[in-house]
Amino acid sequence: MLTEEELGYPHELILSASNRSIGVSKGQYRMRTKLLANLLNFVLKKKREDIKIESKEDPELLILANLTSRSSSSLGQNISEYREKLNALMEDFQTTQSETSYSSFIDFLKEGVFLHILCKEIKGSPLFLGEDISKFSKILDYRENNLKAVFSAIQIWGTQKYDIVPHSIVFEFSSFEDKALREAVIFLSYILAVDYLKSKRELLVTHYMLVKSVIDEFKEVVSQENLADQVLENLFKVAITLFLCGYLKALRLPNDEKTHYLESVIHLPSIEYSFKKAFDEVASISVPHIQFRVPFWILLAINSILLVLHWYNEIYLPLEFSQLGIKFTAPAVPVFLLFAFLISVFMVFRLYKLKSNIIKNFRRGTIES
Amino acid sequence: MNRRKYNTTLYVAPVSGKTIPPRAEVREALWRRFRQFAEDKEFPVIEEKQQISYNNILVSFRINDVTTDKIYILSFQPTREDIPKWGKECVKAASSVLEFCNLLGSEITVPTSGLVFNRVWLSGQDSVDISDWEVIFPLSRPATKSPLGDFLRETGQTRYENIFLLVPKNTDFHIFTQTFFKGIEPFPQLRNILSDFGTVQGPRSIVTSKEFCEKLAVSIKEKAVFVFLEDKQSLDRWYEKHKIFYDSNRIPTQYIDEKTVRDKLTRFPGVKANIVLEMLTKMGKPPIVLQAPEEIFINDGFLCLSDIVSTRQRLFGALFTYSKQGLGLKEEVQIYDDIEFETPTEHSLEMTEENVDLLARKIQKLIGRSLKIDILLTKRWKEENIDKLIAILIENKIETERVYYISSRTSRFVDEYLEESINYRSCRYPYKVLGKKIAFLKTCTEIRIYPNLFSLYIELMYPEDAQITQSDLEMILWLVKKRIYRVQEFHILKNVEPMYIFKNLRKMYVGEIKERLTIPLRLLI
Repeated sequence: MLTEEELGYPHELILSASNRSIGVSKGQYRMRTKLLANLLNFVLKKKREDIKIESKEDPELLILANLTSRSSSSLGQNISEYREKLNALMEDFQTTQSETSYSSFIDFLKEGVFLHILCKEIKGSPLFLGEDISKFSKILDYRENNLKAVFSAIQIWGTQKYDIVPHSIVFEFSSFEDKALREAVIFLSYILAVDYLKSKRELLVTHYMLVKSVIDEFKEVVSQENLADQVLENLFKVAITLFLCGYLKALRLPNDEKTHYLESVIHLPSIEYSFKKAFDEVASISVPHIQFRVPFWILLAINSILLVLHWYNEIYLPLEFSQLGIKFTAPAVPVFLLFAFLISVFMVFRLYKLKSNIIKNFRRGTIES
Repeated sequence: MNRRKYNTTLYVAPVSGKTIPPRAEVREALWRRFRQFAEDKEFPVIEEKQQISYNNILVSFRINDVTTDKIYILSFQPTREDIPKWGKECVKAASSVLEFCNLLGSEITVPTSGLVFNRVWLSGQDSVDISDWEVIFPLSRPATKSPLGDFLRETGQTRYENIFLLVPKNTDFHIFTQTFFKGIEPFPQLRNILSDFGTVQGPRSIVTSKEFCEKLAVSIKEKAVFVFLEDKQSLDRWYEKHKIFYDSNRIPTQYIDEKTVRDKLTRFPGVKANIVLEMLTKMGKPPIVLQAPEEIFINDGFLCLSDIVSTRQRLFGALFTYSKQGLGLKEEVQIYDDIEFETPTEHSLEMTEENVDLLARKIQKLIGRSLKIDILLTKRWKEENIDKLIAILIENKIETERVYYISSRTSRFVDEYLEESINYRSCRYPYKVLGKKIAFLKTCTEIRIYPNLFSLYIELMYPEDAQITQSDLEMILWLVKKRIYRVQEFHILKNVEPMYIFKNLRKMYVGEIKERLTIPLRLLI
């Protein structure tokens, strides 16, 4: 089981989601949760369950189910059905102009963004076509600037259309707030950074920031039992997204960016953790067979008390004894001072060990899953 | 699997002829038969009320004909006036009526109309077990879940502490009263209880509460609950006057009777849990939610239609519940004052074609998009009204899958299901399907008050060729038990939530409505 400190890394998040996914895909969960768990198993090339799904189900569920199958024919049909439903919702809104129909359309559209990324990355079949995106974008109001930026990013993804990513996308991504699009922005900010080298710095800042935020969010989740289906769905969605970014085995980033990532995302937390672990080890004394650790500050306090005691009341231990009629006399030893000296030596020794402990931890690696 | 059969006081007779005998004629013939039986056995008879006294319990009977299934339903029940309100006396009365029916026999013939009534049994096999349904804790970080059976067990074992742990401690309770100001009991008790879950402000005068509300900043309103503390009589008056004002301003309110604080709130943790959960649910932050089984949501939502008739107003209400993407539910109530209708009997509602048309257009605005729904009716509608409504809705791309009429008063009968101790407070709810369209669902597995004795009557009104199934009953049971925020009363929750909401609406004076009034359901619970 991973400890909280150890879960500072995207690949650990993927692994820990993967540990749950097998149980979830077999267990009593909602269809959507099970399909996302199965999809994670699929992308990780783990054994997946044969989940039965009826053809009259929601097209979103059918897409998730068909993404794990070898044949792409059913997926194509499901994608068309999804588009039809989107168009119907859009027409509904255009006819009624009601807030309810608008929010239904937007919810469905946002769900579609994640599916689009999955379909394109896993099967090479995009969910949205260029004309769909142009059509939908026209309807979006001022509240949906994040979604507009995501659509613009989808349109230039893989096209190498410009030298740099348009500022509007970079700006919206950097001030991104819409949680429903979080996975999409994590993925798109990363993939565009790879494609558009001139914008990679800004995009990767957004990317790393979001990766860090999801990892922080899921720190507590990992150790928790009986998670609600919605939390599990989010966990699987994030894990799939991070996997698509290449975090489990090798990042798809160019070398210099990989180094940057290692420094900012992996290296720093790793150093923090190693230092903390090593310091905790050396800065306390464990009493064998007893679950008790004396922290460093207590030793310091004892040392100070001993010195004060010596200052006020010097006690000497006479060292006198006779053996075979010969009398030995050693100089008197100041007891408090002697103990204070011994503690100081011990503390200096432990601090000296700190260096070797940290180096040892780095070499061994801190993750022991 | 429980294969036991449980006696009931319900009888069914198929109608063999082409025409259904008139109800008055059948009732008269049955009464003659029962009177003769009572005289033979020397049981006292009350002629004018058509009741028989057995074991000091007044037994009355009801008949009901179902034209679509061509059946007559006869049911026996203890009369309300004759038994005290609470618990064990109700159970004793039910046992007496069961005994009475045992003496009467399993077959009752009405020679004049050719009807033969046969006694109906509940079977342990025909039941909906909900112990595996999930309870979600959306406020725990991260959100977790637990099977309902385990949750209820833990709640009992911990005396509701598991629930109190889930309740956030940052709510602002604003107390209003006209009588129980600082230091006057039971205000200090109420303040002590609520201070476990946030800050308590007040008490302030109820008279100034509206003004106070208007001046409150939006950010403060978001985490505020207005608590009204008075005696029952004054509280009803304030509820009628104030409730709609706060609901339309999206402010959650809780009306607490001073007697409840004195006698119950301080003594029973269950009552405390009910009140706290109800307040948080009204705020839109429910600490516990009963998750509907996925199969129930084959369609996009439910629409419940009901009259809201009080002594002061005749309104019409529509409640729409639909599942948003993922697991969330959106629930809204709309009230209309321009729909004209008639209620010829306690159980029926009629309206003209123009009014059906007007209602359909209003529903279309409420739903606002194309989807598939089920409709629940709290009164029986004429067939042509239902068909007309469905036809107009379909023109607006709202497809109606099924229409149910649900009643808690139709064909009331008692049964011996809860006499078996294993069934007491169990999560297994028996049902009985009669013919193709009718079912009775026993939604209470504990008896505290008189209505808990009886099952819900459910009739499938549309489509004509469909048959009522267990999954229909599961959906209706979820609509009953989703009121889990009344956790202390979970086993006695009887009616579907919309029926309860419309009943509450009858108690408040809504005033003038411009076209429609929309209120989130959470505020009306």
